[in-house]
Amino acid sequence: MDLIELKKRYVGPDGSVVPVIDISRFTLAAGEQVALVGSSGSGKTTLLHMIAGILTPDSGRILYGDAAATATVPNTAAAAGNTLDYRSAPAAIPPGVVDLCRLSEADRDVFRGANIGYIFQTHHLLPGFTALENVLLGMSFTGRSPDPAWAKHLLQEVGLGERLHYKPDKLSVGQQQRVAVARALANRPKLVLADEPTGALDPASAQQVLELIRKLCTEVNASLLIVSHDPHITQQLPRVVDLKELNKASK
Amino acid sequence: MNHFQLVLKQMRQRALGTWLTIFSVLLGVAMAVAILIIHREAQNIFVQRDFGYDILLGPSKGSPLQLTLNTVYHMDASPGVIPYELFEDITRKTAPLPGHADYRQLVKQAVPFMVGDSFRGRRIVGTSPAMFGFDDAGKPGKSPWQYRENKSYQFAQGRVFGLKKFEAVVGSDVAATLHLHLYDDKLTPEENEAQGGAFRATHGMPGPNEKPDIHKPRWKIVGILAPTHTANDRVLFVPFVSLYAIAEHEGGMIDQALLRANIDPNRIPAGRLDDVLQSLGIDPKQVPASIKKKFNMQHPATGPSVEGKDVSALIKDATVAPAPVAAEEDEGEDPDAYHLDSKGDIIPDLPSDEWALSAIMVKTFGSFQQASMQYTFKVIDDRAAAVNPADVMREFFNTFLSSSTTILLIISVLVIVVAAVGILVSIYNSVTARKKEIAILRALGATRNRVLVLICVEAAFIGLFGGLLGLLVGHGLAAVGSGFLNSLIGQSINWFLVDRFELLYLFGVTILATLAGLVPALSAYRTSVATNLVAG
Repeated sequence: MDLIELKKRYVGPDGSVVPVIDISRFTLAAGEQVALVGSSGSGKTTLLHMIAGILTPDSGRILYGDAAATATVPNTAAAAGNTLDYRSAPAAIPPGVVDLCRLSEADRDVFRGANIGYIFQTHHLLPGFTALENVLLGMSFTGRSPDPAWAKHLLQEVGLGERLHYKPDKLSVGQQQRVAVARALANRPKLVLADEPTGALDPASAQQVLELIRKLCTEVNASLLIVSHDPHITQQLPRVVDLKELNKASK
Repeated sequence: MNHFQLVLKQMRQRALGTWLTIFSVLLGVAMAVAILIIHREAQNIFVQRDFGYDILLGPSKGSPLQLTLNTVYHMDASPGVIPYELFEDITRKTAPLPGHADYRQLVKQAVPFMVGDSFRGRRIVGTSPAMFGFDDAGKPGKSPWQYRENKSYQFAQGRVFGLKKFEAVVGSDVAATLHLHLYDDKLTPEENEAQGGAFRATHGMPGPNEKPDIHKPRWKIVGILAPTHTANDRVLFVPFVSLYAIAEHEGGMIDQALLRANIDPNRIPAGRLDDVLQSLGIDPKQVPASIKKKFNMQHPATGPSVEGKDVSALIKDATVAPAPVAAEEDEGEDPDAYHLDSKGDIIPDLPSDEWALSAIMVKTFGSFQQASMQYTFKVIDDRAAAVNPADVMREFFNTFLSSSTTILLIISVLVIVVAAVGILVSIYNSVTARKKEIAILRALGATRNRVLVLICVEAAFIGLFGGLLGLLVGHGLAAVGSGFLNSLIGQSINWFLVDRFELLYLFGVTILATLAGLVPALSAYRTSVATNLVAG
C-alpha cells in the first residue's frame, strides 16, 4: 500500500478550514506490521478511514498493489509543486495497481470488503448474530461464497471454538474483540487496519488480542497497520510510525 | 449467510416492533379482503340471473324490492295481498271469463305464494303442489317448476303434501335445526307434535316479548326437501288452502286492530265500522264483505243520533277496559273455521272469492311474454303489480349495495395507506436505531445500494407477510359473516374462494410496503459510515 500526496481538510462550523491530513508519501510493504502512534486528534482515525475507502481524501492517491509497481508512480504533486486534484491527474498508474481514490463509492465498498479487514476499538459485532454468524457476515459482501470451514478455523484460532453459537452479549469484552479479529481476517485480506484494538481491554487481554492479530496477519500474509497509544503494544511491532512526523498538517 | 437470512435476522431482533407492524398490515388487508368477498358474494346472491321464473305478481301498493325480498329471500314483511281470483285467471286453461284478460299465451307456469304464519321463528309458506313439480292431484308434472334455472325441488324424504290436507313439506335447514321428521302414523297427533313429526302455526312472526298466538290446526310433516342452498331451505311449505281454514285468518286483521285499541266491536254502531277502521289504519275496501257482515249484523242502526257523531267519540264509546291477562288465557281455543268432506279434504268456511295470496310466481313463455305481462299489469289490470325479480335485484344492488361497498373499499384502501405509513414509521425508527449496525455492514463491504435493498426487502416482507395473514383473517371474517348471513336469510357464501382481485390487492400492498420502506432505506443509504462507526 502506498499513499501519495494525501490531503484532507475539514471545514469548521465558523467556515474556517482546518487541514487534518497532509502526507506526501507513506508505504506499507506486503506482510509488514506497523504501529501508528500519535496524540489524540492528530487524525489517526481519519487516516485509517481514508485508507479503508470510508472517507475520501481531498487530493492524492491511495494505491494498492505490488510494491515494485506502486513505487514507479511519481510524487506528482510534489513534482509540480502544487496540490493536484487526483481526479484530473492522468492515469500514470501501472496495471495491477488500484488507486482507491479513483474508484466509485460502491467499488470502494466492494474492494474494502474483499481486501481490507477493519478492527475497531469496540468490537462492533452485530448483536442479533452469533459469533460464527458475525464472522460469516464479514464474508457476505465480497461476491465470493462464504467459507464456513475457514470461519470456524479462525474462531478456533482465537480460542472460541467452543462458543461458535454464542451471541455477543454472552461473551466477555476480550472474547468479543477476538470475534472481531476473526471477522477482520475472514476474507484473507491484504491489509488489516486496527484502530486502538486493545483500548478497551485489560493488559492481559490486550496482549492476547495483539498476539492473535499479529499471528493471523502473518498466517494470511496481510499487512497490518495498528493504531495505538499504548507503548506496551507499539514497542512489540517491528516498525513504529509517528503520525506527528509523517503528517505535515499536524505541525 | 445470504441476504434473505440477514433480513429475517434483523426482523427477529426487533420481533415486537416487526409483529406490531405486520399486525397493522394484517388488519387493513383483512378488512379489505372481507369487504371484497362480501361484495363479490352479495353480488352472486342478489344479482342472480338464473331465476327459474321471471315474474312476481304482488300487491301494487308495495315496492318491487319489498315484494322480491319477501318472496325470494323471505326477508321483510309481506307488502299485502292480491285476490286469489287472479291466480285462477292466469292459470285458466279454458277461455277467460267475460271481462277478464286471456293469459294462456303468456303464462307457462304459476305457483301461489301465501305468508303470514310461522313456526318457531321459521316462515310458513302456503303454496300448491305445483311448486314441487306435481299437479293438484299429486301426480308428477311433465316440466317441473324451477326455483333456479334447471333446478327443481327434490325430496330427501317423503312426498308432496295434498292440496287440501293439513300436510307440510319442510326445507332441509328447518328439518335439521328444529329436529323435524316425517309424521309417524303409529303415534298420536299430540305425540307427533311433541317429537317433531307435526307442528302448529304461530300467527304472524311474534317478537321475543310477545305472547305467541298459536293456531289450532296441526300439520303433518309428509316430506323433507333436499338442500337447495337458497332461502327456501328455511321455510315450511303447506297447502295454501289449509291457511284459509284458520279461524283467525278470516277477520284477523280487524280483530287484532280492535283488540290493540281495546275496542269492543259490538259497541260500534252499524254503518260506522268503516270510519272506525279507517281511523285505526285499516282500509275498509280491503275488508271482505263477509267479515264486515259478521261484525255489523248483530247491531242494527240505533238511530240518526250516531250519524253525525265524531269518530273519536264513537271510539270512546266503544272502548272497554283492557282484558286482564288471566282472562285471556282462559279464552280457550279458536272454533274450527272449516269442515272436512267425505275424502278428508279441507273445505274452508271462507268462500273462495274472498281468498287472497301474498304473491304469485310466474314463469312466462319468453322475454316478449314477460314484457307483455309487465305491461298488462301496469296498464290494464290493476289488481296486482308484475315485477321481474332479476331486474329488481340488479337495480337494488347497483343503487344500494354497490355504492356502499365502494365506500367500504375506499375506507379499506385508506386503512392500508395508514398501515403503510406504519411500516414507514416503524422501519424509519429502526433505521435510526440501527445506524451503527448499518455503518458496520458498510465497513464490512456492503454498498449503499445493498443497504437500500436490504431495508426495502424488509419492508416488502412485512407487507407480504402481513398481507398473507390478512388474507387468511379476511377469509375467516367472511366465514363468520357467511354463518351470520346463513342464520339471517338462509344463504351462505363462498368465503373460501380467493379471486384475482385479492391477489392483485396483495401484490399492491407489497408494492406499497416496499415504497414505504424506501423512505427509511434512503435514510440508511445516506448514513455516514465514518460518523456512525466512531459514535458509540
